[in-house]
Amino acid sequence: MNSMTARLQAKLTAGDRLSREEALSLWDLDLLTLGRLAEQVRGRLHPEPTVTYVVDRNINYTNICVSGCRFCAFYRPPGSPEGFVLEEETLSRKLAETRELGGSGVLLQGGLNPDLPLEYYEGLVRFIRGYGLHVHGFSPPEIVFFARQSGLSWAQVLERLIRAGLGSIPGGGAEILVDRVRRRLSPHKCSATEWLAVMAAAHRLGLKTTATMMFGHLETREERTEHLLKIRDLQDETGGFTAFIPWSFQPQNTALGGEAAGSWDYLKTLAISRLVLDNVRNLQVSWVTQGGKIAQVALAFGANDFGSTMIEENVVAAAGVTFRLSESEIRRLIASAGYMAQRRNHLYQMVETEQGKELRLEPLPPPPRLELARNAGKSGQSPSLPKRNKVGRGEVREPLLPDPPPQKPALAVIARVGAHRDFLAKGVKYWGGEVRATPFGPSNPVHLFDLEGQSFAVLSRHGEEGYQVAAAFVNDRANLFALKELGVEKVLAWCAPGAITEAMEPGHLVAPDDILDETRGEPYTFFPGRGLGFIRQNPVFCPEMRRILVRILKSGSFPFHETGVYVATSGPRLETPAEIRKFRKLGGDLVGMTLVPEVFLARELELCYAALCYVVNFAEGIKERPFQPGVLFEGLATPGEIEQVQKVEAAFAEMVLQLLPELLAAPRACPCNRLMERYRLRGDLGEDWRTWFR
Amino acid sequence: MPPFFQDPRLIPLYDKVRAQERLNFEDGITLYRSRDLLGVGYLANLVRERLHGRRAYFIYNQHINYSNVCVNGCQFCAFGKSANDPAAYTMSLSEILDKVKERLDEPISEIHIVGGLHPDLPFSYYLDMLQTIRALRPEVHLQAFTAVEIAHLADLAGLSVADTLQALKEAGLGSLPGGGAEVFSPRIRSSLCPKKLSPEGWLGVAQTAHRLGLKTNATMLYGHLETVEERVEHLIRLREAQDETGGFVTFIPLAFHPKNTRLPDLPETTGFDDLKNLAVARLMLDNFPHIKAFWIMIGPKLAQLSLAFGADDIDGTVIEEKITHMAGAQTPTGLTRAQLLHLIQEAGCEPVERDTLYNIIGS
Repeated sequence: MNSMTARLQAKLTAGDRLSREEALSLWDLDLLTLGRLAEQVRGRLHPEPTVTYVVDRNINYTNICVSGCRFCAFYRPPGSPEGFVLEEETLSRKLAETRELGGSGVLLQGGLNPDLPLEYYEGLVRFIRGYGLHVHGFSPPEIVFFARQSGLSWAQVLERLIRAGLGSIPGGGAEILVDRVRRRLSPHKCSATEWLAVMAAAHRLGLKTTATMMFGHLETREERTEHLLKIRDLQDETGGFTAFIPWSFQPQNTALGGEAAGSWDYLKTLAISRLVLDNVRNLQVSWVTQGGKIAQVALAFGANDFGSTMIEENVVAAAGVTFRLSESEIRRLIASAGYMAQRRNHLYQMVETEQGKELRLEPLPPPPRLELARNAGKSGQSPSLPKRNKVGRGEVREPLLPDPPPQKPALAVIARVGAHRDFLAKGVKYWGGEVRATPFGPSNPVHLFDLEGQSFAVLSRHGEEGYQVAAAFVNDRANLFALKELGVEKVLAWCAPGAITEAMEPGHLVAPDDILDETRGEPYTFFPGRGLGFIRQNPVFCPEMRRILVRILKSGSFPFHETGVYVATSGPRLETPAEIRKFRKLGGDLVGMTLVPEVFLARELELCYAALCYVVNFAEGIKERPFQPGVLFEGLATPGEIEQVQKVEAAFAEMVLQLLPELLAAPRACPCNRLMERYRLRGDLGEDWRTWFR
Repeated sequence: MPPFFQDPRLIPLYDKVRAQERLNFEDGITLYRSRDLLGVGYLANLVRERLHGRRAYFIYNQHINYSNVCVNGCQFCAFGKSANDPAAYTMSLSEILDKVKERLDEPISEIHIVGGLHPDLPFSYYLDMLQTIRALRPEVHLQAFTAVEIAHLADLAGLSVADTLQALKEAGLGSLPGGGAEVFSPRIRSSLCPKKLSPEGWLGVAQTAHRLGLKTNATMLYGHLETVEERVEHLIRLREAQDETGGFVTFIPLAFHPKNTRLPDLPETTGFDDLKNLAVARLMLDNFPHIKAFWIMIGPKLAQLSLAFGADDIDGTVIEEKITHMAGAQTPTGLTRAQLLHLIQEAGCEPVERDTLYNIIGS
């Protein structure tokens, strides 16, 4: 191995980012070396030998297109006898078939058709959602086109589509994100900057998207690298790309013609993508353009995803490339390469257990309704409510929406995955969930409920569909900003630490009264470098809320501890036995990754904040617990303990509803809402809290 | 410092390969079973580059399949038909000659002739075939009749294999193609092709040819019912025969295709498997000069990739440019020379056009 390769390998093993020069130098490496390096990065991002795939269908609503890209064999100009716009009957058939075949969604794309208004697309999306299918639809060129046609901004177009049910956006139309190439290849299509800006806007509105690259035509290797670097940069800002898919241009039946890039070029490009895009989690092979044999081999070159079973695919087929793979074929290719096949959905979440048993696809939750934060200064506007979806056939899972809530939610519960569903299950009146845009990025969805005329909010820290975001990476600032903006004054944080103190057993409740902060390097203030935020943390939790928790829960049905010191760690790893011994010496009772910096940020916003913990396991070293791979907590909790924990989890909503009336009624005689008073008096901060952030 | 293998069991093999030590049966199994595709490829590529640098050979040839009538009825075959089958055909000598005449103005170096075991064609048919083609194109090398056909011809002629080969040689035979080897395991032979010439018979014909100064190729059909052990055994038997008589030139692993065979429910071979077979062949057959990837079977994309996994030769019909413009873009039956060169060059290899005996024609 020569020294350049050794240097690159050392960098990659350390998880360091490659510079532009290093990225360019990758093209000089030989194929097997690139594959090896890419495999290492894949192994670090995805330690399990799993390859994911999705079952879906590509539906093209029209092939009539005014863009006339030179590499495209699919489009027809307006007026062409071969032009079509999908009719409802055909669409219905395709959607029903997709559901029958177990498809979880639809990849929806089409030509830029000047005769279709925005309402057509909204209706299309709603129609598909009526079948319970995820809509992975449109692309930046389409969004730009819709905006131009309708006279709206991109954000407005995106909001309307999101309200209609758009779930995510595919990364098409990227080709090569360098205008020199775009001008010659597709002069009537959006520029590279526009493509990136539309994706940024989508990400900020809470939409996940993929990114693609079509290479092997007019571009140079430098331009391919440029493309990758642009994606990487945008991902740093927004984190909204779920996957990257490169593929080679297929020349047949296109204006451009020429030769298709061979497997060598494809595999090199794929491997280099893996090495450069250190911040994009998933890398997908293109069996549609390369065929099953090369796609399988590509799994050894850094890719971890096999794409879609493509119940239908028309665009590449127009170029005469008609590879087809069934789901069982895909699974066979994955398995014979030595990997485990795992079905996923369009958000790259798993929908299948490792034993190959299908999780029943849950009916999709109502799509997030969208409201942008208004300009700082305007306050108290309630979200506009969308109308009920019109559906043709199929199920729709949306509550009939009542009038807007009579008052703002004064209390928010920040809790675990899908917490709002527990309240839905109890029949609490529900206004819907929104993702709110904040200066710190999009918040998690905030769900509004009404309890006998009083509103409260519920927010899941870690994601709605499964444990998506580890504690260390939850966007606390965005969540708290969103809650405060909605009118929240008090936060009840529900969390699940481990116990250092043996008397606090799994299934017990604890209302901690102090914190030992052992976290590292997280953004724990809204005011970095501004000389603000010297807030006393004595007591660190709202005393008024705590009093109510103690009074009510000490006579409750679960064992309850009135005080406790919560040791906060960063994670995502669990602690070592030596660390737990240290924490015990320091007086810690519980250990977890959730409350910090959430509590400190909440106090900077002058929110009352109290935590209600339920113990899920003993911390390391407290009890003898041998490692068990593959099970929850890897054996740290026994099945008996897990059962106790589940009892508490099942009682979560009921407990909260029991606590709510008193918590809401408490008059805020605590110091919490005056923690920043000194800065207001000094003039460092304005009266309107929304002006506090730079 | 050894390069990074994901599979640590490849590391002792790496030492062996660098020391040019022969690999044994267990080594072959390790290679086949390893999930470390890139590691296996790396090893094979070491050998490939030692022998051939970055050269990638190809030949401009023409194929003639004179008849698909066959008495063997092998289960993995989609080509052979019984004599009264409506899809059966047998070319007359004039038809064969017409075929040759069609492409007289192309720079063809080799005519590759194979067919089924026809029960009725006399030995003279074959002799005449060779003689008349040679008369028409004296400069072209005739690679004709697999060991299986040769044994059949010996029966027809009532001659020994050696004498049969001698007669054919005098009529213009240049070398033997490698087909008919399938898998040497008795288990496979008895279940899939019991009527076929036995492995001993096949090797016997090949070695007799070698002793008469004729070069031959060898093959293995993989991806049906054979086990990994049977594959390795097959390669070792070929290696041993080569040690004795030294006349094998090229080994071609052939990917089984299920369509229209009597094993239609078997899946197609995977890319992993295709590359593994090439790589393992390169590593086990240390005394075979060349390993060929047959792109018609595994596709041009995979054949291109195989140049990094041990193959140094790419075979498949090459079409001259002037035919291309009549046929449109790439036809299903051939690549143009330009396409083939592009394929090879994109892989960072040096395209070398060769004749049957690997004399360089051009590059």
